[in-house]
Amino acid sequence: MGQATRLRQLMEQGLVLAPGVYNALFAKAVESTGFDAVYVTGFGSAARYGYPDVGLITQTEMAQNLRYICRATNLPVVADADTGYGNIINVRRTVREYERAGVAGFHIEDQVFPKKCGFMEGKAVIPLEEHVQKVKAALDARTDPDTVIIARTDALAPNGWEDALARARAYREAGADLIFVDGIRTLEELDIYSKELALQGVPCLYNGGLVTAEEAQRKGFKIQILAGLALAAVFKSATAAMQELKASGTTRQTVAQFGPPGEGETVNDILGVPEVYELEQRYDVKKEGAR
Amino acid sequence: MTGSRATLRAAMADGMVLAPFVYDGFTAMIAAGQGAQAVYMTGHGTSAQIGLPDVGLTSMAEMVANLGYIVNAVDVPVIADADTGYGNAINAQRTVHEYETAGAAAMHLEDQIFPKRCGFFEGKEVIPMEEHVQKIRAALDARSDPDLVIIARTDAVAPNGWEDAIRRAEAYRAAGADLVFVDGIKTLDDLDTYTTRLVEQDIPSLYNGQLQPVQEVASRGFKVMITGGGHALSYAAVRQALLDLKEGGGIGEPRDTERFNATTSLLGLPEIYELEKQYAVDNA
Repeated sequence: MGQATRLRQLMEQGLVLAPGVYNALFAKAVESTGFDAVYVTGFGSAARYGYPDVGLITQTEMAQNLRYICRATNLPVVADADTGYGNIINVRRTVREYERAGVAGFHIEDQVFPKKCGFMEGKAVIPLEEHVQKVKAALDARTDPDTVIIARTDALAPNGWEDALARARAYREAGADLIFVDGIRTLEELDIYSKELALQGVPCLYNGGLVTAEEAQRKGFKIQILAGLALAAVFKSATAAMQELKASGTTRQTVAQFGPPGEGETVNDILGVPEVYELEQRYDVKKEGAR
Repeated sequence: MTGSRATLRAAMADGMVLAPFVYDGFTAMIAAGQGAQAVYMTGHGTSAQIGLPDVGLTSMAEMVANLGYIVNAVDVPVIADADTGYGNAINAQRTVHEYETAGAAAMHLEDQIFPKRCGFFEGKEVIPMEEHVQKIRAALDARSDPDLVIIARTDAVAPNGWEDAIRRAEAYRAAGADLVFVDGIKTLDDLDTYTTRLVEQDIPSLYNGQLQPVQEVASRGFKVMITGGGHALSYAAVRQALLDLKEGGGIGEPRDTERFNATTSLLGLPEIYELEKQYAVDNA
């Protein structure tokens, strides 16, 4: 079964909780800690390359990272496709590249190109009708009909709820599998999102951790992503390590604080070093019979 | 920044350069943001973030791509892992060209067989000393910027013992390597041997590890120390956040605006807003 089909099955069973990561190592950690799906954040992907999330990262770089991630995990991957990196022609190519990379679903948003992170100031959106066409183009470009196309609207911050709801309904009407209203900052906003869309039969994705997955499911959501999970953990731990190194010349306390992973869970275990040693024996790679 | 090669050389002449492990642009920016005077691009971490173990599967092109992002992300010198040079002396020369073009300030080439493996893994093997001397010569000849620091690494301690490792380090230095790097230092005894037999014999040396705090390693006379943080810590932190999420039934941490702003500032968002004004970029 393809990953897109798997993702659809999971959504039928209940809410899919997908922690946000931005590299293959962290995707493996999501799988090994027992989650059902991986979310790949554009914000984190941009940070990985050393840039803020303002549309500087190319489709090529996103797709390359996704290829590594999809190869590294057996879980369905939900990915950020930003604006589709241009107009409907670019969207078509994005769909093909993302499908080829192995993603199960991805979201395309109605911001102007170049875009900004959903929680940043200064967002602007393209006309509703134009994004409807982009959603239709994305649906038409699929080679796997199960690929989950998620239409995201960023209209809440610049235009308010009325426009955001009109857009969400129009994108669903155009055939989007899922709707994603981004920039939800408060429980009140989450309740509007829930009452006006998620509980009205519009399949919706929620980005945030204001409520538990159980609660998000009661509110009618199909997918919950925590886009910033890995990036926040790395920011906190790496900053602490660098501060400790500066202050005392070691990183021991910081390392101890995050705890050594248990048996079978170290970086080398999870990356498959034991399997490499097995393969070396099987194919007689090491003359000296290492280990 | 290629200008940082002179900076790195000046800093090494002054004392010991501390270069924390980084594996992507973000961790490089965190290190530099906390005042690191140089950063070290780990091959182990570069491999890990694309899902591969550090056993010579990651290609030179993939290493160079990551190096380019890290160089662009920070203003401090980048010391880069170049593994075996990805083949023989000819490959090593192309590796030097590519790393130099990408903006590395320093790079290390090791005497393991190809494909290599992490310096702390079991089952390492080394090529003959004479062959690596030729690779070091080839690397030095391939520089177009004479300030690019070429570091010769030996992995001989684990398979062959200290006497061979010392002989190799001396030969690589005699061949012209700017620095030597004996990897796989696991005990304080090893570190003492490294210090007395090489560092104190005026062989400029690099130490990889955390057996002692920075100040003590510096007082031994090392020129460069690479240590700390890196992908193993990030992995542990991400894993911990995932386990917390599981335990909390799916609830994340509350939105932390302060951290969000600290993160976006580190990544240069305020400068982007400035540029938008400066060039009258109209978002609407």
